[in-house]
Amino acid sequence: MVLGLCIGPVPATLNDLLAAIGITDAPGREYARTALLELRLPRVLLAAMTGATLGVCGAAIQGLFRNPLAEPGLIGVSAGAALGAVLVLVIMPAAMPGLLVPIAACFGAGATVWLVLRIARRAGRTHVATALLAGVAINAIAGASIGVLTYIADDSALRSLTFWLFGSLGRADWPMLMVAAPALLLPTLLLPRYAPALNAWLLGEDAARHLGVPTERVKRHVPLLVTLGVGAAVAATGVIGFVGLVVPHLVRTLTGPDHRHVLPASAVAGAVLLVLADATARGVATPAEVPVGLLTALLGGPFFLWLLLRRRA
Amino acid sequence: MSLQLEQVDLWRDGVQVLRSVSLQILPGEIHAVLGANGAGKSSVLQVLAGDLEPANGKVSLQAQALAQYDATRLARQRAVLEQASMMDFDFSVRDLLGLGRLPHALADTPTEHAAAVAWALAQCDLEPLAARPVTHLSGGQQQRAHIARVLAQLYPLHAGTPRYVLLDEPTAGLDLRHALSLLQRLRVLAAQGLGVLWISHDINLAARFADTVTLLADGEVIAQGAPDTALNADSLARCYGLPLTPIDNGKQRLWVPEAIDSE
Repeated sequence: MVLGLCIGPVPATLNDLLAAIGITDAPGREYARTALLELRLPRVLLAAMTGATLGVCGAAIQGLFRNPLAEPGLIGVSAGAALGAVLVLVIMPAAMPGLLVPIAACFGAGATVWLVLRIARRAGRTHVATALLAGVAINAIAGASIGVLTYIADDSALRSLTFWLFGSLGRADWPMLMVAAPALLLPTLLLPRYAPALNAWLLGEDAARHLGVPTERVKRHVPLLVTLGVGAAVAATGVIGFVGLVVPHLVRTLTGPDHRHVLPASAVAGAVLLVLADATARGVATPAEVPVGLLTALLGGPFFLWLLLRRRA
Repeated sequence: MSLQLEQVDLWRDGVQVLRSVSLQILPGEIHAVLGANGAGKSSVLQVLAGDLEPANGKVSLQAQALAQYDATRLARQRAVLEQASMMDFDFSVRDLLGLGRLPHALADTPTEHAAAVAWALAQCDLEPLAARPVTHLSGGQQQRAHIARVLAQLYPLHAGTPRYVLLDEPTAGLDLRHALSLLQRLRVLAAQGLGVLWISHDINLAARFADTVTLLADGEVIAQGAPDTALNADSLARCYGLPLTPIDNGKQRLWVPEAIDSE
């Protein structure tokens, strides 16, 4: 957090930070104070909350699909959310900010989850391979649709479009944080309650029911919470890929596969990872910044390939 | 006092798969269900497990309709070994068995939890594998781990109401020694009051270890009772659609199929 606060176009020292929260004095550095409180603090908070949400949602989706390789991005949920958001941005640029974009993003995410589960479910079983392939198709369709929309879009819409596609925390400010926070925090806090049920779920739907798990409720609530979380994350920051895949994996190597540990630990690790990633994205090319989504994809893509190779061995 | 079906009719996708099936699993008894593929064995198990609602007839546990049981209360009294158990995450064998304790999660102290898991490990001779990830085990070892997980769910067998276990081909994938050792273990557990439903493809193992057998053909019970009487040339021929001959080896009567006419 401290590191995330101090890195950026306006360099801030630890002393500035302490001054900003009124612990020490730093005369003549008011601009640093402004940068910290008005720009960087909301941004770091947004990074932490988004990272936590993506981490938890990734872990929950992997549990739901009974496969450690599932991820909201891979099965097309993030792309669906982005398409929802972009659609609103281009078609109704006047209605732009406020609640409409997040709602559209959640709707896009929800529609995708529903579609993927629907396609992948046969004879009461969810086929992960089918889900991933459906995700590939949905990613392609959403990507192409977004491409078409960029042709229709005017210049200002185009700028926000780029933001959605690469993922960035650059729009963070206090009002936006107030809207996004509840939608990001709710799944992060509620999903860990499904940990024992998700553990049993890994044995198969029948086995979970035979252990007394209310499987219908799990099947409805977990995707709903993931939809809300991913939709809100995409609405606030655009598509930040691979956090939901990489974080639960790293966490599992430390805690083992028990969801009672994996879910909360993924929230913490996701928050830390995204704050660091954002700090890096701001730090490497100061004063310009690399979209953080590009950075996570650059790191996450090879990580995913490495996982595939390791599983084969 | 039993887990039972009374005159159960069941339809699946417009096809009648069970026709007026009645059977009773008594505490302390191993009840084997035999039948050809598609005869309705798994449907019997699924109705007894509460997965499928029959169109007609009654399903009851301890004289109370199964549908009236709350899911967790039911899970404390009966456990189910599904036909294909799965686990793609790296739980250790010990932690996998721990998942079987879910219905007791609120009641178990850490000591009770550990005792249940240790007991279940011992039932299936899994102590040497306890720390190994299930994903690294052979198919047969995984099967034993899932059987132990199902038993852990019912520990302790002698507390309160009788416990029942429904096993869908538990010996599938087990070598001869482990299959026999499992069945001998089930006899011991039955002697402690466990009621066992055992779906099997092996007539001779069923004849040797079951107290009662039910033969199904086309969703109908064609013979039911002690193995000595229920298993005969006539009932087995109807059940499997091919002639079987008994061979007496002095200790046991073995049923051997004759060659199928290949025309």
